[in-house]
Amino acid sequence: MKLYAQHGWGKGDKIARGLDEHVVSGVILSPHDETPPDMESYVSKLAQATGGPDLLFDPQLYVSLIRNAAEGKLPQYNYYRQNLGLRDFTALRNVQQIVKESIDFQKNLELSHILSPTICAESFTDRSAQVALTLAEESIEYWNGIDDDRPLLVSFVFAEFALAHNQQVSDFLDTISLLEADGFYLLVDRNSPGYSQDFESTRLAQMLRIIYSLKRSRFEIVCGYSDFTNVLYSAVNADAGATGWTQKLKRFNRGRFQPSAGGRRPRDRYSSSKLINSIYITELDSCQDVQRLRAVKSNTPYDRSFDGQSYPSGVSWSSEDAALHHWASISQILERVNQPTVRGRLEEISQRISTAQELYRDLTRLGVTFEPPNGAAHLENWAEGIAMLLRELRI
Amino acid sequence: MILPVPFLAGIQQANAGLAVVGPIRSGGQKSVWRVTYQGQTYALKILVANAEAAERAKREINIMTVCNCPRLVRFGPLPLQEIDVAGIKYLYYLEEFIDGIAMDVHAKPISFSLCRTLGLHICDAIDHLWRNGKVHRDIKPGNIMKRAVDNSFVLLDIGLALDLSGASLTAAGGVVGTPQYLSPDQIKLVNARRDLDFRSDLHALGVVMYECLTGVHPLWNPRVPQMNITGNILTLRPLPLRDFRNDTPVALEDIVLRLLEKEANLRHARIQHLVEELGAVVLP
Repeated sequence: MKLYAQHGWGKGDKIARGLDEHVVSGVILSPHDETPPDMESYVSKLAQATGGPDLLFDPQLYVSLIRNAAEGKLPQYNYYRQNLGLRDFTALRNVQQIVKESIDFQKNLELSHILSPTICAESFTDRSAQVALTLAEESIEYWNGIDDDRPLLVSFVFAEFALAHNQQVSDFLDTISLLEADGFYLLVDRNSPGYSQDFESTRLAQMLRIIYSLKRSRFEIVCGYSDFTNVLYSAVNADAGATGWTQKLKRFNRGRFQPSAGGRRPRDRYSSSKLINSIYITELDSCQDVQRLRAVKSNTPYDRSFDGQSYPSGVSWSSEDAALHHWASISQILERVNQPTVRGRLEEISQRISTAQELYRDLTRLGVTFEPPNGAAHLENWAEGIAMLLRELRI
Repeated sequence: MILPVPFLAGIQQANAGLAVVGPIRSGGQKSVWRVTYQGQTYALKILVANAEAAERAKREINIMTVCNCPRLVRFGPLPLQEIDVAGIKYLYYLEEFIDGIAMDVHAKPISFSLCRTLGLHICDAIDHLWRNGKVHRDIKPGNIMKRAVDNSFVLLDIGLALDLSGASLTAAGGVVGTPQYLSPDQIKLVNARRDLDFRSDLHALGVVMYECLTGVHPLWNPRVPQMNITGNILTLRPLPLRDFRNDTPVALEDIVLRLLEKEANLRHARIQHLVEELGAVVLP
């Protein structure tokens, strides 16, 4: 599975270095955070990177339907419409125009894939889902009429709550698996904006089922804002997942596109492939205190600074270093989960989850405490999600 | 029900040159006869006339005319006609005569190679139907003939096919098809009114292939609960084929079990993918 950089505000040299140093192999670009001319030149620059990275452009049309959205640079794009409501998609002519303009914009960039515009579906059965399907169908029809070999990925953004309805997920899959697209770009609009790896087990199992089913039908699957859950998505054959450097680029929530309430700068974090989680640097200090730094460290090339000579929080740790380290830590797990079958990979990840849980227990026994999102709670849900999937499907 | 010979005499009288050779099969309101007409052999299909039979016959003829596929039975040179015998009306028409054996009476298990051929040929038939907006809805061994001349397969009895662009031919409140060969989708359609697609036919093909390879029905055999065929279709996971035939190639077993998935989205989303997988199976 490939890991992509989820582009956003404050990119600096993070993405360029990530590509150069092979910790990411592609980028999902965000027009919210670049003006059209800057986007065009940035894509051209990225396309020259060694190895020809995968470059995808998320049109982010869904932002227009978010109440009081902070739309950033999006209104500067000609395909984007402000303050859209579902009623604006009633006329097929409007849908076709939006589709045409958003695909035409991408067509002229040096992208590896084309992404269809979409809106966020609150459930798999309501009107927003119907509009999303119409946008998908119109995008396929429009792209099929263009002489261009690049794959079209149909975008779907759905609320996490939608995953709670097993039958609706099945019906939705029955429908979209017949679409004549090359693949799908999938985003889950998480219930809470806070950053954590937690994913309620039944919903996680449904998400894994979606990826598994679509992959069996030979679609290319790219998941956005998928962070550590890429480890699970890789087991069910997702082709690529993405994550970024801020919490809002690691976990998708519509709050990303709402005005910031301000507040202090987020605390520095450390991504541990052993804990399959991101913890505060100060929590890594505590691990060092109990002689467990080596057990928790990811041992990526970016870990050299954490040699145990001084506290991790005392090490110079730029946001760029943190981003590269984060990508490298996730990539490391993705590379090591390499069983040839889906069942084999799910079992391998289950074993890694058990090992991480044991490490958490050991740290807790030694007196290390973690803030709730940085603790082991997600691991139990992940294990249960995997077990549910295995019970439900003939894998 | 074998229809009375005087009835056949009436048809022969009305169509000069048509000669009845003998019966092929009969059942319910329908019988099929081997006949010759204009120097060729055909199957003469005769139905007791009522509104549903007429609709079904028209549908079948329409599909046979539209779908030009060697894996689907072809329409013959006599159009749909009606005859009145002693106050009872009958419909009849000619279709291609398949010289061979129906798979419900064929010895089982069959070879892996023959089963693969069956799978590929019925895929072709399903694909042709789907490209014309149709779902067969009644694929079963009795509706599949193996030609004697070359061991190729032909799908018969398209009269129940669902035309996605037209009105559905459905018994009021009921499910169309043969109970043991219904797909989960056909059963759920009654309650949820979901649209059927070709993946429903793929499920039936999976049942036929399983049955041909093992000699037992995947969802109705002595080793599975036999309380209710509908319940089994909806929930029972079939036993691996190797439980019955331990030399079954893993890849072939995987294909058949995938066809039998309860959810349409877990079956093949493109018939071409299934054709490729069948073609790639390494046979012992």
